[in-house]
Amino acid sequence: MEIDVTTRQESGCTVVTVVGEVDVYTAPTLDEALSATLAEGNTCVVVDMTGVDFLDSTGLSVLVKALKRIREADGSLDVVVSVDRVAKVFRLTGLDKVIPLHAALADALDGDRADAPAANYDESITGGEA
Amino acid sequence: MSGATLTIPPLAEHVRVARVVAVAAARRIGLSSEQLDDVRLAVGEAVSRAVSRHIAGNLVQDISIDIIEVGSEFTVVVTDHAGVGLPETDDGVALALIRALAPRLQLDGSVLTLSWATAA
Repeated sequence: MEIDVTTRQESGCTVVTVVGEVDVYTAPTLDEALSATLAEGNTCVVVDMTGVDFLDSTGLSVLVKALKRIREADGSLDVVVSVDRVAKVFRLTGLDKVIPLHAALADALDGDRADAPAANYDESITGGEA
Repeated sequence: MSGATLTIPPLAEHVRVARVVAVAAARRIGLSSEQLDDVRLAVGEAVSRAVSRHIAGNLVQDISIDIIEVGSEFTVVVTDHAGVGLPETDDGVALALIRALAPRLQLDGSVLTLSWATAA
């Protein structure tokens, strides 16, 4: 199964929409899209994973890599997640404390981007440091 | 006791097949939908890890995934050929995730065993 990654500008941010399963095979496609977006100088990035029904640690590491570059540029990275089992991967790794998660794209674009971490810290296994 | 054995070349594109087969077997023996999600992710991480170990070690042998159903217990055994002493390529994130997802886990060199039990 392939993933579909598209990029567009909305409300002053770059929205990267991902549809499909993000795993060790497909994560490089997301990595390329995020790297291209960052290379263009975009520092307000929202990754819309509403259409993602599977995410593994290789997908997370792609997001962490992008986050590091965005932070160096004083930018923001937000992620939209609506599927429970995808949100769970963020919680289990503690990444929800580092990357703000939103249930809907409008929340990510309207809200206090990158100001407040998302909730649900209870299942963290990494102690919160990414 | 029943089960299946799947062997895949150490290539990233084959990891999904292992996930799909494991989840189908887990569903058949009656694991809950939350457990199925855990099986999907844990088996995916375990097989991805095996593929990464083979790539790191330039190993071309197949990776084995044994799916074993005994009574209410569902076990997946992922066997690679990379042996012991190879550092985790991802700082251990995959193993940490697997530990959080599988109620029982045993790592013995190249053999990673994960088990779940049905609620009944």
